[in-house]
Amino acid sequence: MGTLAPVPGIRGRAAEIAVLGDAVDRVVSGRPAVVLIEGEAGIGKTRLLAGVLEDARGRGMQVASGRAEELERTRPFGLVATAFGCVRSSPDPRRAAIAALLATRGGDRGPITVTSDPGLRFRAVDAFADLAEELALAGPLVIGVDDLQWADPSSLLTLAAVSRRLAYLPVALIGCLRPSPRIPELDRLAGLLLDAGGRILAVRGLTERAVAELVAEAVAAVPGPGLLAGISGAAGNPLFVTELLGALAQEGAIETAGGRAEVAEVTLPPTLRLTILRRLSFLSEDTLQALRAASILGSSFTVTELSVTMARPALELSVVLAEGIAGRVLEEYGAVIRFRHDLIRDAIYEDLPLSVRRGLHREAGQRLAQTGAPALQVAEQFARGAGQGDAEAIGWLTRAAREAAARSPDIAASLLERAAGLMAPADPGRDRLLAERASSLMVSGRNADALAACRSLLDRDLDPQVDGPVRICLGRALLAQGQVRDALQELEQAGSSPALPGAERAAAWAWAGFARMSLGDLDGAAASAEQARSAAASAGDHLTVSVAMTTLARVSESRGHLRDALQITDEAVHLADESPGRLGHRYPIRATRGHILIELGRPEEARSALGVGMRISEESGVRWPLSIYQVFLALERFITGEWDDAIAELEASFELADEIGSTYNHVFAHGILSLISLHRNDLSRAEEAAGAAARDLAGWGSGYRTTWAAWPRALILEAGGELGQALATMTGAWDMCARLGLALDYPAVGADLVRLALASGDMGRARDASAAVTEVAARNEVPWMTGAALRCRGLIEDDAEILQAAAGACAGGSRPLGLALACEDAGAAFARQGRLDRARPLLDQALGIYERLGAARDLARAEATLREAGIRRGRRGTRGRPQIGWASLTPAEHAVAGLVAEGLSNPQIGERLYISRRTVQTHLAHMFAKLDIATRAQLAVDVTRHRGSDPADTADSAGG
Amino acid sequence: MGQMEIRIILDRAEPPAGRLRVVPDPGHCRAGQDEEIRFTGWLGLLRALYEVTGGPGAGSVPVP
Repeated sequence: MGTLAPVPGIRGRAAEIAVLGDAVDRVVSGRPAVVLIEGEAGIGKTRLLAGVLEDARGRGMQVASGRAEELERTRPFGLVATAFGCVRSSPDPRRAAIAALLATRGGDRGPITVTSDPGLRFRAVDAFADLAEELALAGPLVIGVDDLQWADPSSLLTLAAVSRRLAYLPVALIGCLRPSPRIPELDRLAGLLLDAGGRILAVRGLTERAVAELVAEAVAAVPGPGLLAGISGAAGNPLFVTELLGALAQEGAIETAGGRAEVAEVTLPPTLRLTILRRLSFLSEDTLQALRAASILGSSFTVTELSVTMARPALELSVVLAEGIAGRVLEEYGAVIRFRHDLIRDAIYEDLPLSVRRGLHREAGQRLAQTGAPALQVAEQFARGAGQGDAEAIGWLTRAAREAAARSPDIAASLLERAAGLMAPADPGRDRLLAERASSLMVSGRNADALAACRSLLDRDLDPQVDGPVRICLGRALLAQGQVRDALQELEQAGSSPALPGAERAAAWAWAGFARMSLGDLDGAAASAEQARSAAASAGDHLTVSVAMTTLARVSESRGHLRDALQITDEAVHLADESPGRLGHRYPIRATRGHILIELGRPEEARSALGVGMRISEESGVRWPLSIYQVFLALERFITGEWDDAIAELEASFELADEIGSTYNHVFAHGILSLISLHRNDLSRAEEAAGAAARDLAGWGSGYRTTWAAWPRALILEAGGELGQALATMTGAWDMCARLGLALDYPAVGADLVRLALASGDMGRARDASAAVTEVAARNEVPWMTGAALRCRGLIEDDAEILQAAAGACAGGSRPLGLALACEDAGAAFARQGRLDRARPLLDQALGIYERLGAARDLARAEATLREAGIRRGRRGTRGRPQIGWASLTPAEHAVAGLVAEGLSNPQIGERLYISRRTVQTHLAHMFAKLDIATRAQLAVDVTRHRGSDPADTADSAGG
Repeated sequence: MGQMEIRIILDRAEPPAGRLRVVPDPGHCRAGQDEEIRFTGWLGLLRALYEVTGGPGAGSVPVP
């Protein structure tokens, strides 16, 4: 090859380098930074990234860097595994463990079914995020990822998870991407990063001056006007400039005399691709042949892979490739050789006629298959070389899809789509593959795509063996979107198909039971669940047994038979414990169990059950139930009076629900948030949350959650003085509960209904409600329910003694708000009778509780009662927490802060406190705002400063 | 180097594939000038041109 200029330094990028330098400086100061470097191919993104990573290394920081490759878009976690050095042979056990996890073979045992497990994928995502967090806790970390436009969806998901987790750690995430192509996962990641304060660094063409400097450096002379005019055709693209210079130099077209470089005549090729080819045309034929074969393998390859595909000895190829490396076409990168730029590889690849490319891909696929290469790599080659009806390619794509399914269901869906695309429309196997694809889409959370795929399949006359699974998939996707009635219709149709195998039929019945439960059809839900439990037990389908038994427990619970419900969950947990691989625990049985325990007034046990269930979900990587656990944990915190912590759990659950696209339990969550806001006199937030609850409820169809939308709405109306509407709203929900047999809600809302009915003069309604509450309370003998029943009676009879008895019953439970309300009612009743000595302690007790809860609205009302009765308030209890500063931290926040100071990571803290990593993150966000700090290091300093000066600091961490 | 007429017959345009030959000049007939060189791709075309013109990349003509 002719004389080539050495690679010039970075020119004309001072502004960009400054931005990247700022990012590194931020990390050095303990804060996070995110920069996305965006620009066209060849514009210099990679060199900017390399520069900032070199700078970070030079400053002693940890660096994790990787580059995505076009032909590896179907390799799950390929980019992040490379970036974090996760290989089986890694001396770091954490990295080796991740590599082992990724090597787990997923779905190659058979077709991807509707019960396919997405757990492995999320376990891997969490493992990467844990590793990144541990690294960041040890010191500043810079993550550099190049060519994000080629990254596989699982890597993008991981980067999103990492960025969320590392919000308060010294971590920089710097990614390069071209404006196109853009897959939805990349758009989501970019959106998330920008929303979290990341910035886009748009890299454009170099200025004329910078180009002149670059040329001068490359030709080691002052460029003449002719040379610069010719180079201007490169539009400031540095790669184009250097390739042009290389071609001109090799042709001997540049003449240097007297320190000036000039071209006599410039005849430039019209495009960068042709410019690259023009330069490459000077290589030896042997090297060109090797480059052509290498371009078939992608942007990077190993000598062994090239040796296999070319059927040439590796040693011989090493000599040939050396010319490519010397000519700056290739470069060595660790154990692989890669094209110096994707565009160089693309130019060579696209210069091969399509028929030749296909032939070479096919040949590469066959040879790689013979050497036992991974199915994904073989399939990619076959797919690129395949024509219509190519059975070998279809077979490899299907195999690769099933292997990828557990780690990356969206990649599985894409491979199956490609396989189906190669099949003739009349091929009977095509619909089966498309059905598998629909399942993968649903499992990957792409519900809308899954729905479209299922509907498209069901539009034609399907094989009955395919029709059933597709309907189940459609039913579950509809359920996930809250379209319960439509879901039920599909699931019932599937369940009635005689062609459906036993386990699938059981699944259809079980999910139909779930749908009926959501609609409030308790009898129907119980019947479907019983049928499903029996069929699933016969078929050995442990997951479906769990689904069915959980529905049965929920039916009992909703009818107000709490101990029966608990017994069913005990049995379900036992069966799940005994199931192979604890498969039965992939359904959140413990969420239901936790909820039942809350209702039974056993919050500690509830918290433990929910914590364990959440841990199992996280460990098995089944994420969708996590937001359910969080909402129930929020309910427990709400009921036991830790409202700030309840809000933290709710916020974490909303964030997670957004991430995984599951809105199940949103009605409940918004309902709790609305109630807390109302009691705290934040009416606009209460209104907003109540509106959200109503919208969620409308999506799900009226059912057993109605109360949680109607109750806060009625109280907001009451607060606005619209008593009639408040009563109408409450009675509407109450009557629906009565019609559906949802007795569990009576004790929770009964007293408010009685109050509203009495205020409206509707004694009949008040008495009916009281009777219903009394019946449920008598059946369960739980203090708070007994208290609720007595309170209803006391209000109706205006009997201060009964109301005091209600307070006494509530005092035996763990619901401070219920206790305070009963005390207030009793105190007010005694005050009306003029028995101020009896009234004062009760009202004082109510006020003390309201203050501790921060229930400003209730506090104001109770103080008004005191004033009207002419009672002076007794000794004031502990006032509510301030809004900012150390004293504003809640018990859970203190516990989290203490563990942060000990250097624990979020997962470790979550494990200690029985809360999710997300909730830890939410607590941190709240603390940082309250304390006006930005890093964990600052928090640790604050903890040390306050240690010993505040009893809360020494509180048992696990006490939450 | 004097003037030379080269005829390129394209079977396909992008990437190009076809044949190339030097049109014989009756006054300056050189041995081998009437031979056709097949080429595939831009790389093949460039290298075929080098072959007939004796350009810097002259060598064996690539036929992928």
